[in-house]
Amino acid sequence: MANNSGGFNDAFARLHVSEKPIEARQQISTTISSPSPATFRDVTQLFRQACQGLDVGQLVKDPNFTLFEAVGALEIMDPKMDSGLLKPGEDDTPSEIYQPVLPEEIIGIMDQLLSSEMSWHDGAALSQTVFTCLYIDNLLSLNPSSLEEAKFNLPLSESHQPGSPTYQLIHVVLRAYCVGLIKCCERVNLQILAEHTYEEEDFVTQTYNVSLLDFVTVAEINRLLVSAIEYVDSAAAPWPNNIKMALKARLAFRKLFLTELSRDVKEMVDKRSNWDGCITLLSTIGITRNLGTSVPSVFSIAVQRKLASTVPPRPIVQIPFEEAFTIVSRLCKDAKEILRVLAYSGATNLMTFFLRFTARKPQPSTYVRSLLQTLFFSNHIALGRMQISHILLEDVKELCLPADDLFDPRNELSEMPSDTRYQIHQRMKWFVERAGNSYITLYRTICQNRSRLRRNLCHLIVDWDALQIECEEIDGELQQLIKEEPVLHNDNISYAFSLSSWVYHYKLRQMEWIIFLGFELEVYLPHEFAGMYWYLQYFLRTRLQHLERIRHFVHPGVAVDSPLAATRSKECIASAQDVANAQATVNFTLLEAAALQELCSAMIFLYTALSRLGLVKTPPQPYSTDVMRYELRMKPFLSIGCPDVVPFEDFKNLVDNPDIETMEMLEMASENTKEGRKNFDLLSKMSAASSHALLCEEGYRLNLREYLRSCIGAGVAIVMLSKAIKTNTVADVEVEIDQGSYHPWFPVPRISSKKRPPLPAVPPTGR
Amino acid sequence: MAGVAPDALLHSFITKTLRVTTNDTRMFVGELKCTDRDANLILARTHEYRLPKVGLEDVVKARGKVDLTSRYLGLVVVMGGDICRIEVEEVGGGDGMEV
Repeated sequence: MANNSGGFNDAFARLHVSEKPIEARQQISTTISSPSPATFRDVTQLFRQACQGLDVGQLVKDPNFTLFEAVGALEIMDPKMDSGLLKPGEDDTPSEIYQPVLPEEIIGIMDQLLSSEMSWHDGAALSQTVFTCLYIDNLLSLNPSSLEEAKFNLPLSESHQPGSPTYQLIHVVLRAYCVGLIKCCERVNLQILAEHTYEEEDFVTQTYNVSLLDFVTVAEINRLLVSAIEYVDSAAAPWPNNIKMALKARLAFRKLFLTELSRDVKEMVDKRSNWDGCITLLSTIGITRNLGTSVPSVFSIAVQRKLASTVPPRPIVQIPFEEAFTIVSRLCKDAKEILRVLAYSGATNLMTFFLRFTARKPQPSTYVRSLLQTLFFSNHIALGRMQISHILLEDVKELCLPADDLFDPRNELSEMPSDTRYQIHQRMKWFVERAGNSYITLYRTICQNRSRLRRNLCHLIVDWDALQIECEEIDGELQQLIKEEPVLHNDNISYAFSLSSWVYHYKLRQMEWIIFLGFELEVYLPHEFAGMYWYLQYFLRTRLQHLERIRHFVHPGVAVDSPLAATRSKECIASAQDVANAQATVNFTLLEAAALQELCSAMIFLYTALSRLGLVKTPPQPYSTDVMRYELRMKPFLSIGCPDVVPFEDFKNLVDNPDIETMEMLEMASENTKEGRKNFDLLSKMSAASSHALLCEEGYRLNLREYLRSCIGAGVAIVMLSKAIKTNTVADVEVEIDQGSYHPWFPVPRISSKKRPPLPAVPPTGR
Repeated sequence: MAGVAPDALLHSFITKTLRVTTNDTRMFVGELKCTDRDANLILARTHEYRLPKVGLEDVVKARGKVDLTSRYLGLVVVMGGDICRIEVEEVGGGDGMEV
């Protein structure tokens, strides 16, 4: 399923790339050894004459070949398509590679290589980055099959006599660095291919049939790097100490970086990771950055002429060193941070971490997001040492605390199909398998890029909706098996429906995320904001009611009268602590949802008021109508059973609220922001443990602060607008929607007077 | 060739492996999928061959094979005007594998 965006042509290309080379090699060697190969017959005249006989527009083609496929063909001799085309006057002969004599130049090349490597991490192809380095090309183009063969093939010159420091500089120091870097690329590629990411969109894994030293072990390369470091350190290397330090830091970083990129999950669980070492060396690289002299001539686009590529040529991408430095530093820090998930401390904490970590701006790199997926679940093991069922059931317990009997380990021991315990176990087993899959997919989806997350959530909610219905049935059967006592809730006699309640809660959250991400990704136009916030408020209100219901069923004493009470094993009985924990989780979730709901309500009123005053205008929609747009926005939710999609007419009335005066509306909005602010303040006073943010307290608090900023920003906008209405100066008012300075889910209109300079941004809050 | 209808002759080349030399001396070896009046060719599973002018002997000496001059391109279009030579593979015609 991964990397399928290239379509058939790519798949086809890859299929054949892997089997062609041997054949190709044979072909070329025959061509060259025998100048007039007997196997080919010249038909130029014949062919051309036959073609002349065709009518204009007549095609002679393979019946299995469609012109649709031809769209994907590369046009030879077209400079935009043909990577092998020589520019007029350009020579085919590979120019001699410039061989540096100064260690400063080697430092420069190493730093340029780092820039190339990070450009690759950032989404460019290897053909645009690392492979454009003539030294990397020189090393790999002879298809080395061992580490000994992976060396430079350079002409000897007077300044580069074997054994001389200048020679060693290239053939020992630079070679070790290049080999290390290539191997780093190989490890990164392997990791990214192992998990779900989007080819070309997140990352380009294409290696153009060039082997990235996959046959060489990391240990061998580490030895090579160590001996290069030793050489730099030795008296034979006649350079000043600062130069030596710079070279050593780069080589040592390569070694540590490669080691970290090569760790398996088990080593990470055993806490053997050393990203801190990489971070320390990076700081030395940063300090010694100015010692390097860049050598642009050792990078060339001409390398693309040699790469097996079914795509048109692409320009060189080499981000500035500072940017590359930021990317690699962030990569090391992020990779270190995700190891926190291994210190499992409850399912809700884990989910909070995934949500906060992946929402970070800029988003963590593809490599790190891929690694996070592997840490979470690989080889049927979660977090390197756990069953996924354990995390899943803890998640259910943390929120809904189902009856103890469902989790009794004795259930599993029963083998009699007529036994209640056996029957409970069968149903729980079904739940673990069915919901377990959806649960894993949800975590993995959260690791995707933000646009894909939104898109995939639209598919996931359909699955969770089905899961909810299936679980309701199982809940019904379970409640009979354990003889659950009904409870009076909202004047109705009702049962807990714990499993489906949990599923419903997650489904509602995902529905909210879809719309919230619509704001974050700037999918909606300002005139739609009020309507989309109305939907959020509607989902949040539904979730609040649902949470109230869950809270009603989470209390001590549930299922005491179960027929299994007598034989119940002690370890499955929920302790007072468990009950308190579940209640605390529900209360916390209620508070959070309430805070969001208040802020959404404020936004509905605020943006509706702005529309009424003509400050947010509907742009001309020559090919669309409000109804059509509404249908489009609601498309993901149409097939969802509960909550319903509201008919457009009702929706319009509910959002526009024609019966409410604009001033009154702004007063209500102001009340909402005050309430929201109160709730967010309460949330920020809670401990990391009770906020379920143990793994990511910093990110969690930052997110809360951003919510608060949006609250305050909205409050300011409401005051400004009310003042403009009172003083009758609406005509002089200018509105600009600020997506950047606030919470990405709550862009705030900045209201200013046209005559005066714009107001300064709201200062940071929450301290 | 007398008596053979032009399109019948051309049809006999379809799915055969052709070696096409372009005006810039590169060669393209691939399976003919489609052609027209201007002898524009669509070749599938194409490899590009480029003969380096210098350094070839060294390379052959060093490695005993020359694989760096060939590369896989896949599906390509070569315009009739850019072609200076068309050759067809005699034996068997292609490798017998269908796409």
